Amino acid sequence: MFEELFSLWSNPTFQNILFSTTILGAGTGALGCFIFLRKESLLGDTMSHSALPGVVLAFLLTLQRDMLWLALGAFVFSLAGALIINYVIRRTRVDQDAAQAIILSSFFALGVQLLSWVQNNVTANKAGLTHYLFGQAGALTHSDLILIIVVMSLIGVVLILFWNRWVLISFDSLFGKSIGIKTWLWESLLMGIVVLSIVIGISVVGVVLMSALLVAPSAASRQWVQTPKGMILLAAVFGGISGFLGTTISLAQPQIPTGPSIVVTLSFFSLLSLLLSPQRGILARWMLERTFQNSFAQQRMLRNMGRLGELHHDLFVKHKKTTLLTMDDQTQGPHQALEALRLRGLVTRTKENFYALTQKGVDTLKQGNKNGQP
Amino acid sequence: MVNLELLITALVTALACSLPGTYLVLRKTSLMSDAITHSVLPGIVIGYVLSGSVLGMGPWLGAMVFAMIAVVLVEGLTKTGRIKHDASIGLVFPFLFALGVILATLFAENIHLDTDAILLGELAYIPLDRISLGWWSFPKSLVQMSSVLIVNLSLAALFFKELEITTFDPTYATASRIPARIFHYGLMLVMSLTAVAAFDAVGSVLMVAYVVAPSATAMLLVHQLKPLFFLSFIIATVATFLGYLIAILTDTNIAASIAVMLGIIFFIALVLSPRWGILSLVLRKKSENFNFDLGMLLVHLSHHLGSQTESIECHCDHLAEHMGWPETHAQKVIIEAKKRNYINVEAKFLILNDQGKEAAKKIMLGLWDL
Repeated sequence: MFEELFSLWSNPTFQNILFSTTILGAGTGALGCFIFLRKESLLGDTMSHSALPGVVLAFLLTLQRDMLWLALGAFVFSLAGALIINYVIRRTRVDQDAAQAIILSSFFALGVQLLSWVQNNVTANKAGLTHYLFGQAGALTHSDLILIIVVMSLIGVVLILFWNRWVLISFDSLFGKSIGIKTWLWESLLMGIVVLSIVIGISVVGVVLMSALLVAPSAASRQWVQTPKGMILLAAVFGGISGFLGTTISLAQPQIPTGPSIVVTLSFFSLLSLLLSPQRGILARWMLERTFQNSFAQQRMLRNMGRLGELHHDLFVKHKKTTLLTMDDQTQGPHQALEALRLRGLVTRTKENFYALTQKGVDTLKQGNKNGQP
Repeated sequence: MVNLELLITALVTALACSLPGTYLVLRKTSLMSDAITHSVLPGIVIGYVLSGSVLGMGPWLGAMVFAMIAVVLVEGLTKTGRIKHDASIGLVFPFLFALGVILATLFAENIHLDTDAILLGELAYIPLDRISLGWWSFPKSLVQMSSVLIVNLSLAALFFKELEITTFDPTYATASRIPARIFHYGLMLVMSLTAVAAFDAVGSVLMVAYVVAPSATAMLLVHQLKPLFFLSFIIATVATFLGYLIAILTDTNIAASIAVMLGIIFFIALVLSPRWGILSLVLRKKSENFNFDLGMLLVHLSHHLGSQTESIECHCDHLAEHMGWPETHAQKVIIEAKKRNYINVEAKFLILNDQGKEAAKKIMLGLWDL
């Protein structure tokens, strides 16, 4: 198994692909944090879909499949899509959801229509244009890798240089405006950078799944860390690892397409993070709730037994289990509470279905009555 | 050239999609349609593989199960408060869709879905896949879509009132014992049913246009529920015919051409709508600005009326300078003020008349209606 993997990783062609997807995953993952924090996660989806007509038009104009030209076409159209959406939701009655849905699907449809026209009418080498739908990591060449590295490091430099600005517009754009920062400029610049990364990414994972590369890593990393710096670093790690693992899976199992494989790996990390993170995780939260509920149920049970005992003028009197259960008006686990109290040694079971307070139980109860809680 | 069966199938698809779409748009959850149309894919593939037959109920059941999984996941994730609604949509549907694509490629021999068809549908091949009912044989897709359209129409008619109330005022609905949640999930279920039926014809991305665009366009033009339905049907029909025509003339993908046409109609409505359109917005803004400037002039004149500097401040030639307006704009404002009989002009001096004084007073009290 490991030998197979090792031979996979040492193949120069495969290394090309692996490096490309890893770097792409890391870069888009880091960048995605900003749009995640700005609550514009679906903007990436819209922009990647609306890039399609740009790709096909660029091909029509140049009649060759040069990644740089296709990327330029894609850039123009996704930026146009994003700007139109921004205008429409700010100025008209159409809400954000509807505007995004319409731009996304109608731009994409335009791309499909142009694509079908190209397929029926153009004789130049158009093979591989449809790969922009799902991407084709297998076709990545060394020059593509270099392009990806150049663009991603450029993005990285810009992110680091103007770090404060990006954090500011991600958390409190309005405050930025109030202290005289041209937020619209930085917001547009951020959008431009995001479009740039999308344009590079769609040739690898395709227009449909591109948005996951932006959203999933940040959603995962947000669950583990609390600072923007840490969040972005971790998101880059998640994105990079998923890119690497997803590509490895698809290289080992050639029927599995690379894009979907990366996305499934990424989603796996995100869902796992949402579930298992120690502080914010759904599981941790659920367990905390359970603990609270249990301790409340135990308090109630202890108090009920004490009250019953007072009526009998004997705190150590034996109670029928059914009586105790019906006394608890909450449905939340009186059974378990009784058992837990027995394990803590506050209650004993005298015989089948009969329970009584122990000395320790009575002490705890009295102590609790003094402090307001047992 | 015109293939009637194809045209009718496209039309029925557009109509069937626009019905649940109207409620999605009104509830401001249009992107749930995006999530659902993508998320049904793994269900369809698993359904095909398990039931083995294309005609069986497998894909339908699978699709509905996965659509519900998507809806519950999105809402569940949002409810935990760990990520926002948009992020949970963006997380869930690419995952399920990617899963579906992987399954589709792994079981490629068992099913007739190739990966491009998942996204785009194959409307052109619809007439090839037929079933016979009685003496006639129909395209299978047409029969499916018509049944779904009938189901959608009858559900919409049957629960018109309930859907209206739960859409516009869910709190009131709950107070009057209408289970808003059940209608919400019912709507999602109907959306997924429609999505499976339309999947063969238009694929998952183009379907979003069919679902959202007709009613979003109609919402720019009318403001009541019944006319909204009616108009979105008309828009869907017009777009289908025009899109089909263009696709035939240019020899391009029909489903895409219709979706493009839906987008174009949306933009036309967005620009030209009399009440909400961009054009009327710009014009209204312009006339408001002009009226504001007119008011400024009157206040300016009344302020300097009888003062020492009146001869300078109220001179026609100095106006542009005092108000910071371009010369031509100042001219226009003066002409308008004269036309409305607020001022008299004597030897290039602007003098407020009684009506003008009255108006200036009103403006300063904030009573003037721009």
